[in-house]
Amino acid sequence: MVAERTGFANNLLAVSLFFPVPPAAPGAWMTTKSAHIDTTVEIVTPENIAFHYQVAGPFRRLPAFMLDLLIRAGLYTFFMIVFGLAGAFTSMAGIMWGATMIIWFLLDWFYGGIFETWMNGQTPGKWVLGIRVLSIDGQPINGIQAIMRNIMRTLDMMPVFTCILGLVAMSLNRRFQRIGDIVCGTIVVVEERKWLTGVAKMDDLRVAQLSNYIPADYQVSRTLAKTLAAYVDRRRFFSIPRRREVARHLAEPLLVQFGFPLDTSYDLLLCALYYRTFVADRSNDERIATEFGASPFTPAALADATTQAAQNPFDIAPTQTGS
Amino acid sequence: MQLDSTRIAIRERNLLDTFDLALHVLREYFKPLLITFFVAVIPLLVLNDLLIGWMLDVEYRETFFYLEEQGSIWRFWWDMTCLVFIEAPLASIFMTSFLGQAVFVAEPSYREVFRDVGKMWKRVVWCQLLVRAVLPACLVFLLVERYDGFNVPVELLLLGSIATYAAFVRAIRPFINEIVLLERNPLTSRNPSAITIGKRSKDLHGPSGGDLFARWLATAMFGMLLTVCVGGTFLFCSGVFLNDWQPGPTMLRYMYPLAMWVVAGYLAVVRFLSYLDLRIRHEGWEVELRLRAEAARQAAKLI
Repeated sequence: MVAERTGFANNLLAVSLFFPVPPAAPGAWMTTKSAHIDTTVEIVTPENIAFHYQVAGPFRRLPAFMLDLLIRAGLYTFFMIVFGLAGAFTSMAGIMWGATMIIWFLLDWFYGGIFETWMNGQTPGKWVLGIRVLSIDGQPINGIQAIMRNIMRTLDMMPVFTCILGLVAMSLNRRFQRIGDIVCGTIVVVEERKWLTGVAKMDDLRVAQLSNYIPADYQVSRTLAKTLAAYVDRRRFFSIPRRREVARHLAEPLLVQFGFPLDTSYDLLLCALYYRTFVADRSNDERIATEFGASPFTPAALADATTQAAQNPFDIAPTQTGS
Repeated sequence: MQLDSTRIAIRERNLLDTFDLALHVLREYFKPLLITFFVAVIPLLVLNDLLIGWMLDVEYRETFFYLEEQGSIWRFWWDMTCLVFIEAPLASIFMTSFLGQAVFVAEPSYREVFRDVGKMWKRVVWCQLLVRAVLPACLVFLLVERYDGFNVPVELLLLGSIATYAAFVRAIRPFINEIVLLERNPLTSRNPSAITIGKRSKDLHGPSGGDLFARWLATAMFGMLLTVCVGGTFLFCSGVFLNDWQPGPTMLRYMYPLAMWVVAGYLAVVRFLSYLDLRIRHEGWEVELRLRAEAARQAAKLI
């Protein structure tokens, strides 16, 4: 563990040579945000409020750019036809040709800037794909930022429209800022609406019943509570054998610790612990326990042949055939 | 090893997010990824050049004056594209092993990476060289008469068929490197309940076949686009620094394979992250890691 910590510290130091990161508090190094390689960044507003945004990288932005390109091409074609027809039926063909060129110039250089100013950091393509341009302090961008970052795109597309310059620039910073973004102090974030799920509903009466048998003096730590919440949140997507495989890792030591029969359902035990931690209403539970006669110590259908937890984190447990 | 404190954030992602995250991973581990990738790529570069490099030799093009230069260039382009495409997963074995360790360990050692791959060499040979047709693709060129014209049945039909087969296998079973090198399942077993590579591959890939195929198509499209961009940049640099603006034989012989390998390296990182994503979506791997970490903490408390 010491070696790991030293290695990590060295790594952090190496990273900070190019991209300064705030030093982690002693003892908190493992859980600092900067320890993770992720596409989320923390933005602290001038009001000192921290937001976590998922930044949009080049590939997340590409569909929006392609959509905008399509809209631009459509608009240009429309104006070309209108001016072409006007030129054909009047004696102002030259003027119409000039107007078409002006439209092309405006669309090419100001389409993004105008829309991002007007639509608060979004173009139609960005709006469809759910991404938005913000200032690096989390504030909405202003007109100059919007127009400048779009004009600077020409530089990002160098050399010769291969976009490698922009791609390299985006790869070199945590916020996926292309050169235009760096110059204008902007970032592109993903507008994700996350649903906050409440406490999971436990339909199985044995859960409440079993939770009563958990020793009253057993303290659920914060990390255990989080882990239980994560398990209960995801378990409905697992098959019954998979629930057993996943729950076994934690349930086995807990069964020993609580002195429960070793064939108690692993899934049921974790649900009961979750219930005890987040839901429990002791008096109500006791009522359920007396009304519901069946034993909560439901044995798992099949004994697990390989109870040894694998050391390789990529390992999978052998597939179970029963619950 | 703290299983729930991973260096690469473990959560569900879509393909575009995975592509973006791969850039972060590349930046963070640029040097080790470069080393682990090119350790495998350099022998393959040399091998490919030995197999088909002669197609761009001046003597060949001058001796067989009836062959237009464009013809030999297209021939080389086709053969090299097929070879690199087929060999790309094999070239990423060390990189995959490194990334597997990098998820959990801050600074994985090269020694462990090479030792882990060394332990699995039989499985790698079977899965990559034979099943994924790297060896047959190389052997095809033994059937080609050197310094002779384009051999349509062998180079177009046979090599094309092998490349199509490899593409099909990789589209529906993309994560074989991860299964072999990280999960370390046995190739065969007499125990019917043991999870062999084949069984594991079926379990992992089977339920998400359609999704994996769609992802493969999108990845292939991005791969082609990136190859054009990287190749175009090399051509631009050659024009600026060497005043050679033509994508001629020299450019094609050295720069084009290099451009493809660079993209293959990037796509190997994307593939590894997609593997993590599949395990999260399909198996709830992130929950399993948290439970295992919590179990370890509980055990430590009891001690």
